[in-house]
Amino acid sequence: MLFRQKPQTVEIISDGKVIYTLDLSRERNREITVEFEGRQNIICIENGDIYMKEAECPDHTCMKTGRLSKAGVPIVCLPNHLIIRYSNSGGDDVDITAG
Amino acid sequence: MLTGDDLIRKSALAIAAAVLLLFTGCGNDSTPAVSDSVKAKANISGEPQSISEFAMDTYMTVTVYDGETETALEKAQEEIKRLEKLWSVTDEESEVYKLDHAAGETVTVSSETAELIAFAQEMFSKTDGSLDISLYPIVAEWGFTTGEYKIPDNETITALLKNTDCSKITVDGCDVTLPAGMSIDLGSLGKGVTGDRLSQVLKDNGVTSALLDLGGNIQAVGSKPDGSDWKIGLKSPFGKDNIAKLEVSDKCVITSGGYERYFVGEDGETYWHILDPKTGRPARNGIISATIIGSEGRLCDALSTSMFVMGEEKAVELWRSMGGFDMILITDDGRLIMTEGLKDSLTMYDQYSYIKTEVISDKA
Repeated sequence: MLFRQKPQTVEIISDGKVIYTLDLSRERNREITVEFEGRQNIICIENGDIYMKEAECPDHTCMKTGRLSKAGVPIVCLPNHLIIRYSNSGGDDVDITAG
Repeated sequence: MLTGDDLIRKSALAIAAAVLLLFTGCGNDSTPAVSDSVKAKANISGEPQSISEFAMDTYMTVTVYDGETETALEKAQEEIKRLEKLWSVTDEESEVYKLDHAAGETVTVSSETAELIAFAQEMFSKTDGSLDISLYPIVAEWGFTTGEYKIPDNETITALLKNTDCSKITVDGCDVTLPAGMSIDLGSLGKGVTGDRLSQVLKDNGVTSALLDLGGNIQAVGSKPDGSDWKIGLKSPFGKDNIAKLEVSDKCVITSGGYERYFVGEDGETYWHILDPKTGRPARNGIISATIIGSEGRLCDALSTSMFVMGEEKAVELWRSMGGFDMILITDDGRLIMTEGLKDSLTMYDQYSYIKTEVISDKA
C-alpha cells in the first residue's frame, strides 16, 4: 500500500494571474506584499502556514479567514482580487466544495 | 448540548468567510469586476484546463476535464463577461443599471433579462415572498454591498421596505417597468443562470465533463471522465471544513449560508446578509445553511435563498409541493435534514457525527 504524500502546493492569484506557486513545507518564514489598484495586501508565511496579515479593504474578510486550511476553503480578498488557495482545491477527499 | 445561539456564535467566530466568494467587491466601484483570466497549463496529458474570472461580485472558475477544451473555455469566458455586462448593478451600461435609474419609466431590455425578472416574480409568489430582487436598497443600507456594515434604525428600514415587492414590476415582453423608487439586483439568481448558460456553452462545444465553481455555487457538467460521480464537499456552517460529501453527476449544488457574509454588531449579535424581505432584517428562522441539488441552476439558486429565509417547516412544505429537486437544511440546533433522494449519495464526515441527520420523504 502506498502512503504517498500529496504535494501541498499553494497558489497566490492576483487579479486572475498566478503570481506565486509555493510549497509551504519548504518555505522560510516571510511576508509577501501584493498590490492591486494601489491597495496593498500583506501575506504572511509562518512555520508552514499561510495567512493574510494585512489588507487594505473595507471588510477584512480575508484576514478573518485565518490560516489557509487544507479542507479546501481558499483565502479570498475580493475587493483586491486576491486569492490564496491549495492548487488541488476542494481538499483530498472531494473534487470541489460547495458553500 | 450547544444551544442554537452558541452554535451561531461558534460558527460566526470560526467560519471562514472565504467560501463566500459571494463577497462584495468594491461596492461603489463603477468599473466592472472583470479581469484577465488565468489559463491552466496546456492540455498535453489530459490534464483538466480552467479559466477564472472575477464577475458578479464573486470569483468564478470553469474547469474542463475532457473535449476540445480551448474553444469551449474561451466561449465560456466570453459568456461570463457578457452576462456581467448585462446584470451588473454598478456598470452604467448594464440593463439592470438602466432599470434601477429609470425613475418609473419603461425600459426595453433583452429577452434574457426580461425572462429572469419574470422568473424572479414567479419565485417571489411561489415562496410566499421569501426571495425579493427589489430588496437591494436595504441590503445596501446594511452595508452588505460595500463591507461598511451598520445596523439601520427601524424608521430607515420601514421607509425602504415601502419601495420593495417585486410583484409590482411590470414585465410586458421585453418592456420592463419598475415603480419609481424601486431598484433591483439579480445577484440572488445571476450566478445560477450563469451556470446554466455556461453548461450549455460547454456542451455545445463538445464538453461532456466539467466543473463550474461560481463563488461556491457548484454546477457539474456530466460526470468525471471515468464515468464516476463527482465528489462535492459541503461546506460546514460550524467550521472551516466540510460537513459532508455528496456524489452527483450533471447537477447543481447550490448553498445559501449565514456564514457567507456577516458582521457582529456592537450589541454582540451576528447579522448575516440573507435578509427576510418581510422585515428587512437578517432572516432568523432556524436554518443556518440551505443547499439545493437539482438540474437547473437558476431554480436551485432561487430556492437556496428562499429555503434559508422560510425556515424548516415551510421549506419542507414547499419541497413536497414542488418536487423535482433535493435539499439539505442545517439548523441552528445542530440537525441536518436531507430529502430522501440524497440518502445514498451523502456521506457525513466523522468529526460531525454529533450532528443528528434526518431523512424526509415526499409524504408528510
